[in-house]
Amino acid sequence: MASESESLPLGRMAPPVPAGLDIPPEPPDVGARALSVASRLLCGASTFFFLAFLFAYFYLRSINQDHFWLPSAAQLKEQKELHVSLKPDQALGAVFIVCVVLSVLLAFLASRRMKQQSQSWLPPAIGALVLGIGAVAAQCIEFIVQKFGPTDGAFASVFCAWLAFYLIAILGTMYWLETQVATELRARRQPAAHGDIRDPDRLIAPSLDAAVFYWGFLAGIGIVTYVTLYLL
Amino acid sequence: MSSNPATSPAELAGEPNHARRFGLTWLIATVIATPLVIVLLGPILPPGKATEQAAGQVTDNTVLLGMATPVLLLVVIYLVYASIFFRQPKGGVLEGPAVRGDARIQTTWIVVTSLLVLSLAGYGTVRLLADNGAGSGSGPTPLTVPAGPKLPVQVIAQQWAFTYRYPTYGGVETPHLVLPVGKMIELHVTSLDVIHSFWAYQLGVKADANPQIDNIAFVKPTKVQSFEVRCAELCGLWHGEMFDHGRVVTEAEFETWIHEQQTRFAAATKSLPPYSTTYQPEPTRRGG
Amino acid sequence: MSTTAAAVSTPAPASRPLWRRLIGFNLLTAVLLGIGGYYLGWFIGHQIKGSSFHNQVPSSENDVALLLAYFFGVIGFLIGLGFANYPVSRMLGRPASLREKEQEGWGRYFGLCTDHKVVGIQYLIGIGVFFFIGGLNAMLIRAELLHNTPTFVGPGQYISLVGMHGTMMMGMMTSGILGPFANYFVPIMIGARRMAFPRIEALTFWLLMAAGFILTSTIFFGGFPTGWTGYEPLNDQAVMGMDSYICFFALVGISMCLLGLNMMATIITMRAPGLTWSRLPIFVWSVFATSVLMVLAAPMLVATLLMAALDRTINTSFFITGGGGSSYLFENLFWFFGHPEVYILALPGFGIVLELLPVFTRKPLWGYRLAVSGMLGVSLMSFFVWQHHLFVSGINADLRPFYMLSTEIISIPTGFIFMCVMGTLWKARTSFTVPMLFCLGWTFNFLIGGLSGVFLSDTPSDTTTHGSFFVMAHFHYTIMGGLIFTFFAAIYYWIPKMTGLRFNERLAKLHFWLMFVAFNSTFLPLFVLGMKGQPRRVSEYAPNLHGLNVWVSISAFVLGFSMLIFLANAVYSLIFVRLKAEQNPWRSKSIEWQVPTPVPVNNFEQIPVFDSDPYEYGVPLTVGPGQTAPAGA
Ligand SMILES: [Cu+2]
Ligand SMILES: [Cu+2]
Repeated sequence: MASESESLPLGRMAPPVPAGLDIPPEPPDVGARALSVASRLLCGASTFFFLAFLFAYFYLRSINQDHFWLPSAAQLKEQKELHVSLKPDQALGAVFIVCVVLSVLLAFLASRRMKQQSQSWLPPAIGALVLGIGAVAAQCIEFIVQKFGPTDGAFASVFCAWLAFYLIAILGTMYWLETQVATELRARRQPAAHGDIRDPDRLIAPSLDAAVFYWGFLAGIGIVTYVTLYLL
Repeated sequence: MSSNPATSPAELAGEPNHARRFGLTWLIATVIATPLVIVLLGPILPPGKATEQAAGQVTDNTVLLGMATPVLLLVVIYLVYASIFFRQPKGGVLEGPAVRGDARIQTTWIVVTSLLVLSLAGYGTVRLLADNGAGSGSGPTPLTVPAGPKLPVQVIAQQWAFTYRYPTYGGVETPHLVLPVGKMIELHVTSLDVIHSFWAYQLGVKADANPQIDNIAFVKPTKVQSFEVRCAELCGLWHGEMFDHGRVVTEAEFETWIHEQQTRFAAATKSLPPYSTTYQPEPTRRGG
Repeated sequence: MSTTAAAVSTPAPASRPLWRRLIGFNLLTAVLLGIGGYYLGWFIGHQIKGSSFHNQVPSSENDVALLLAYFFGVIGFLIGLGFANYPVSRMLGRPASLREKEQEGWGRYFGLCTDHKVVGIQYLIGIGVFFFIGGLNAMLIRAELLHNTPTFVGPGQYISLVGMHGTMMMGMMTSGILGPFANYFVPIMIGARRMAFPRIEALTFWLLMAAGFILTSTIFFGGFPTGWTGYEPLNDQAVMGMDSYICFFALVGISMCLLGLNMMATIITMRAPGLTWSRLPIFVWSVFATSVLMVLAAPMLVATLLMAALDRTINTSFFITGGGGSSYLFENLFWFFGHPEVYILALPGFGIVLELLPVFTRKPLWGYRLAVSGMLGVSLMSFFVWQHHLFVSGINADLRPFYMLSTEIISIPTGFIFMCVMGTLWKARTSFTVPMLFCLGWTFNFLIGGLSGVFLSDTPSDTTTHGSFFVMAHFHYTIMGGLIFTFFAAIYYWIPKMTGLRFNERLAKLHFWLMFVAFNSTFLPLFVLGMKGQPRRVSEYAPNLHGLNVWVSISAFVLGFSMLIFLANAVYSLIFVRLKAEQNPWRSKSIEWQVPTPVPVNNFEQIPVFDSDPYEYGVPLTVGPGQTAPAGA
C-alpha cells in the first residue's frame, strides 16, 4: 500500500503564526464560564457528600439496632447514660433554617441586581452574609443547649456530624460571597486596582453568580437536612 | 465513514481474505478448545462435589469457563493474527486504510455481547435461586428456603476462632464443626466483635460473620469427608491463624458425637447465654 | 493569560544570597510550618484528651491528638507553600488573578507552581516515588509468602504491609494518569493555555504528597490492620496507625475531587474553536469520564472517613453496633465510593490505549462514538454495582440478582473498548514501538481481568472466589495490567514531548518483555491459588500450595526487577546520556506534537482552530473497485 497520506502535513490544527505577534489576552468569558461550571460541579460533589449522611440516617433508622434510635421509655430508664431527650430544640432549628432561606433570598436579590448592572447589589449581599453567619450561630447555640451529645447513639451521631459539616459548608460559601463583597468595596475605593483579569466586573459578576447558585443549592441541601434531622 | 474494510484496494490486489482466514482460525480453535476445556478442566474446578451447593458451583464455574473460552480465543487469536499480518515493514512509513467504523460490525458486537451478558446474568440468578443461595451468606431472611427438615447450626466468629452451637441439641457449643451427611444444614453465621467470614472451602460455603447480624447459608453435604474452615475477611492480628478443620460424618456418627459433646460441655453450656440468633457484643468503642 | 502577566513574573534576581532566597513561601518553609502545625495539633489534642472524653484507649495513644496533628500539619504545609496567600488576599478584596509568579529554572518544580506542565512533571515524579514505596511493600509481601508460615515479618506487620501496599496503590495511583498526563496534555490537546483553576491544580498535587507522607508515617504509629478497605468495626478497634489511613484517604479524596472538578471545568469551557465534542481526542474523553466519577464518588469517601474518624475520637456510633450503628453502613458507603474508584483507575487506561493505537497503526480510531459511549457508559454504570463486593456479606441478599445483572451489564460498555481496539488493529500498519507494545499488553491483561471478573460477578461462583487470591489476581489484572501498563505506555510515548529526551529503546523493550512475562507469570497462578482456597491477606496457607507460591514470589521479584530496569533506563537515558528526541518521533498528528519542545509557558502563540479530530491517518478508500486511492484528503 502506498503512503499517500505522507504528503499530508502532520497535524493541521496549529496554523503558523506570524512572528512578533503579541499573544492576545484570553477571552474574558472563559473565566466566567469556568466559574459557572465549577459551581455546578461543586453542587454535585456536595450532594454526594451529604448523601452519605442522608443514607446513614435512613439506614440506621431502618435497622434501629438495639432500639438505640427510638429508645422506649423503659430502656431509657434502664440505660442511665442515655439522656432523656434525643429531641433537638425546635425553636433554634427554625431560626437556623429561616436564616439560611432568608440569606439565600437576599443573595438571589443581590445577584439579580448585579445582572441589571445596578450598583445597589451590595446591601442585600451583605445581608445574606450576615444571615448566613447567623444561621451558623443559631446552630452552634443549639449544639450547646441540646440535651444530648454525639456519644448518645446513632441518631445523635448523625445529627451532630451532619449539621457540623453542613455548617462548615455554609462558612465556606460565606467566604466565597465575602470575597465578592470585599472586591467590590476595594474596587470602589481604588478604581485602578485590577490584576491580570482586565475588567474587574467581569469576574465579580460571574463569581457572584456562581457563589449564589451554589448557596441556593446548598440551602436546598440545608432544607433536606433540617427536615430530616429536626422534623422526621 | 462506515465502509466495509473488505473492499480495501490492497485486498483486491491479491491479499488474502483476512476476515475469512481469521474467522476460520477462531472457529476451529473454539470448536476444539471449548469442549476440551469443559471436559478436562470442568471436573477439577473448585470447590469439588462434597455438597449439593459445591457441586452447583462447579457446574456454574464450568458454564462460565465454557462461555469465556471463545471470547478469550477471539481476542487472543485476533491479537496474534493482527501482530503477524498487519505490520509496518521495517523502516516503512505506510498508512493503513482510513476506516473509521462499520455500523454493521458494531451493531453485531453490541447485540452479541448484550445477549451473552444477559444470559450470563439470567443463568447466575437461576443457579443462585435454585441452589438456595449456592452456599453463600444470604442474610437473615433468605429469598429461597429449601423445603423439608433442616438442621440449624450456629457459627460464632470472634477474634480469632470459630465456635459452633447446635440449638436443637440444647445449644451446646463446640470448638469444631461436625455435620451429618445427607441433611440440609442451616448455618447461622454471626460475630461477637468485628467482621469475619466463614469459609468452608470443600462445602462451598462462604458467609460473612457480622456483629448483630444473623447471616444464613444453606448447605447439604453429600459425601463423608473432612473440610477446611478459614476466615476469609481480614479481622485483625491473628486473622491468618483463624482456621480449623471440620468433618462430615454419617448420621449415626453425628448422633454419637453430638451426645458426647453434650455431656462433655454440659457445665459450659449452662453458663453460656441462651441461644439467640445474634449476641450483643461487649461495647468495644475506642473513643480517644 | 496575557503578556502583561508574563512580564510580571520576572525571576528572582540571581544576586540575592541563598539565605535570603530561602525565606519566603517555598518547600522549606512548608516543611517547617508542617512540623510546627503537627506539634501544635499534638499539643491541643493532649489538652483536649482527659478533659472531655471518657475512652478505652491505652494511655500511650491519643487519636484526637494524632488527627489534629495531621490536620494542622497539612494546613501549615500548605500555608508554607503559599496556598493561603491568594485566599487571604481575595478575602481582603484584592482583585482576582490567574497565576502565582512563575519562576524559571529548577526552583519552580519544588513549590507552588500554576503552570500545568510543571504540575504534570511534579505529579510524575511524586507519584513515581510513592509507586516505588508501594512496590517495595509488594516485594516484602511476596518474600514473606515464600514460606507457608510466618518467617521474617510477624502477623501484625504482615497485614500492615498488605494494607500499606493496597492503600498506597489505590490512593496514590488514582491520579496515576490524570495527575501527570492529563494535567500536562489535556490543556494542550484542547488548545488551551492553562487549566481552568491553576491554583487548585497545584493544590491537588501538594495535597497528594502530604497524604502520601502521612500514610507512610503509619509505621511510627503501629500500622493498620484493615487493608485498604478499612472495614468497621476493626477500624474502630485498631491502634493509632489507623488514623494515618483515615487522614491519607480523606486527603486523597479531596485531592481527587478537586482534580476531577478542575479537569471537567477545563474540558467543558476551554476547548479551542472548532474542537467540538465529537472531535475531542479520546484521551480527553476518558479523562472526562474519569473526572465525573472523581467529583461524585470521592466526597462519599471523605464523608465516610470523617464518620469513621468521629467514631474513633469523640465516640459517635455510626458503625459501632454497641451504640446503634452498623458495620453494614460502612461497607455500603465505602463500596459506593469503592466501585467507581476501580473505574477511576481503569478508565484513563482505556483512553491512553485508544489514543496511542491510531498513531502506531497509522489508522483512524475505529468506532470513535462507540468508544466514547463505552467510557461514559462504564462511568454511569459504575454507580449501580457496588454491592457485588458484598455478595456473601448478607447485606440485602434479595438484591443480588439485580447487582449480578448490573455488574454483567457493565461489561457491555467495556466490550466497546475492545471492539474499538480490534477495529483499529484491522489491516493496520502496526509499528511495534515500546508504547504500542504496552498497549497490546494492556489488551491481553485487561481481557483476562475482564473475563475473570465474570466469575466474580456471578454469586454462585463468587462464593468460592470472594476474598481469595482469585479476586486479588482479578483486580491486579485490571489495575496493574490495566492502569500500570498504560501508565508506562504513556511515559514512553510522551516523555519525548515532556523533556525533549527519549529512552534507550533496547532497554525499554527489555523492560516491556520482562514486565509482561513476569506480570502474567505472577498473577495467572494466583487464579489457581485462589480457586484452590488461598485467602487474601494471610501469610499462613495450606502446605500443598507452597510450590505455586514460591513460583509466584520469584515471578514477582522478576517483575520488581523489571521496574529497576525502567529506573536504570530513565537515569541512564534521561540524566546521563541525555538522548535527544526528535520533535515528533511517532509522526503523530495530535496537536501536542505540533507545539515546540519544551512547550512554551503559554502553550500556543495563538489559540489554534481545529477542523478535525487528531486521527486523520490512513489512505482514504476508493469508491469503486480496482482504483488506487487518490492522494491527499
Ligand atoms: Cu479473619
Ligand atoms: Cu466493584
